[in-house]
Amino acid sequence: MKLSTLDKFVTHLLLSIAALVAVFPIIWVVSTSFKERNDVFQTDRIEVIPSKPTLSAYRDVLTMDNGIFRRWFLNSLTVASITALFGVILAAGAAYAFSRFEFRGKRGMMFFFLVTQMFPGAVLLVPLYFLLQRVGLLGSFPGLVVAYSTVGLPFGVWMLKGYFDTVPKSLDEAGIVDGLSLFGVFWRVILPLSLPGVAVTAFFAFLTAWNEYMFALAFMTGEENYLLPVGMAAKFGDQYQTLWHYMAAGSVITTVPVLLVFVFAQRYLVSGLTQGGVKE
Amino acid sequence: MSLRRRALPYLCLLPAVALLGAVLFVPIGATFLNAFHEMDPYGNRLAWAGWRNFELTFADQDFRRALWSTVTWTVAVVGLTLLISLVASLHLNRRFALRPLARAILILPWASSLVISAIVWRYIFDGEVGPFNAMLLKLHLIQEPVFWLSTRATSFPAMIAVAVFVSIPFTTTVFLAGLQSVPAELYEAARVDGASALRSFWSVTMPHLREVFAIATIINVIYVFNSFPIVWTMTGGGPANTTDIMMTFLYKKAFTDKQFGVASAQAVIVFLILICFSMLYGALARRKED
Repeated sequence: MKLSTLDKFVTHLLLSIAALVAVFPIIWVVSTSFKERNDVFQTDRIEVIPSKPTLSAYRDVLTMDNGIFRRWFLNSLTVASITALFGVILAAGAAYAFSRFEFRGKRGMMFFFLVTQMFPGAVLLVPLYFLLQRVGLLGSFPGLVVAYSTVGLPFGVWMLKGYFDTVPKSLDEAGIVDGLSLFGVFWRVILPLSLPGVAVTAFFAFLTAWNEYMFALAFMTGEENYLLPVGMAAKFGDQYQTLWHYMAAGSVITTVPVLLVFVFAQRYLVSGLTQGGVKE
Repeated sequence: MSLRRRALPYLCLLPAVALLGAVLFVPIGATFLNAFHEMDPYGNRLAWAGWRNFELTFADQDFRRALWSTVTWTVAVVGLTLLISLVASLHLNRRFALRPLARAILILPWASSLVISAIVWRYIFDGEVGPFNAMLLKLHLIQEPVFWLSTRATSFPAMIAVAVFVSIPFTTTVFLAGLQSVPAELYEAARVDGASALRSFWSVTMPHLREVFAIATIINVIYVFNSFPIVWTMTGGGPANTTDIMMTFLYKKAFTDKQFGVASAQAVIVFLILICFSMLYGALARRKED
């Protein structure tokens, strides 16, 4: 499409404003994380670049209360990693069946997976709490892993199916001719060829667990068992409410690792969404 | 085909389906049962209560306000999100020099936890040291600091703005994917036929966007209706429950008041509202297609 100069101007203007609004909170948090306590309370001017940049907020956050923040980071990392691994293994089986087989009840099954994606957390919160309590997993990391991998499962299946579909079925047949078993075809042909999709699905599962708040808040007790979002909200939402430079440093540490992966994997994320989630 | 081969797809599906059944379907069934029972504070069902929990729920003025707030909240957040995302995606779909950068920026808020975004925005709107006040003061739009999150009149719109902000990346991404499916020749043809920009938007772009628009609407409505972290973190539903939405209200009923029967009744109400909406919307979307 050819654009007139006015059109181009409008596009640039609108997007610049939008970009500014989108980026401001990020810049502000990063800036605050390098400030000292006194500079945070300076209200007569908006200081985007700290006049006396310091790493003290990071040091304090990482060492406060016997390193509780590092503990939360480790908790989140553990739960999110296991969720990703567990989630992908479960999703891969179902996605393989949907992608490669015709069987009775297939359409119904696929609909079942689609519908579960729409279940509101409201309905799950209370009964899941008692379910975990009954099986002795309340307040434990495995309990959270089970909850997260299940909630994220339909989406993962849908995504992986989209990726498996892009691997031509003729390759399966070639594999069989070469003497591979069905599992061999899956393991040596389909999986390696859809590796970006597998990575994206794993990353999404990881992200769900890394960012989730309500279940983690309701199910985990004891400060040392918190995950990062719950810990952040408890520490910087309530207890040290006005220590905004600590909150900022904590937010940066929590977000940056995920952000890096996100920006790097952006292209695959979007194509995964369109292949698996939107089409069909 | 051998029996083994015929059984294979079911075997592959078994773990996933079993887990979904145990962790999603059984609890949902339990919620419906609990809603019609008297519950003790430890989650045990006592006596059958009939519609009592529902009567209690609807008699509660705070619940009615929370339900109404949730409807307002959902309409405002989803409406604004769809509108802004549509405009943004149309512009982002054009070719310009900094497009990759613009798209990277767009996707940034998606990666951060809602709670953390909410804490950050609470800081931005803070009455004493928040940069939002500082900016408005500098521009002489206000004469003295405003405590944005202390009263419903200002905190509710502020939280709606935050919810829109965090919903835009996903929605715009879905729209962009839809826009890329529009064949460029169609625009060319519309131009040759002398169609205005607006006309070609309605006749060429929108029909192609219908499907993704429907998907984005349903997903956003379910998600926004159920949202918890933003309100919980920014106001906690306060002051005096005035900014509660369904999820924060339900959370308090369950885990603060330990009224699990009433909380289950509320969960059932949320579930039914969302199911009705999805079916109605699905039917409408399908009728338009014919």
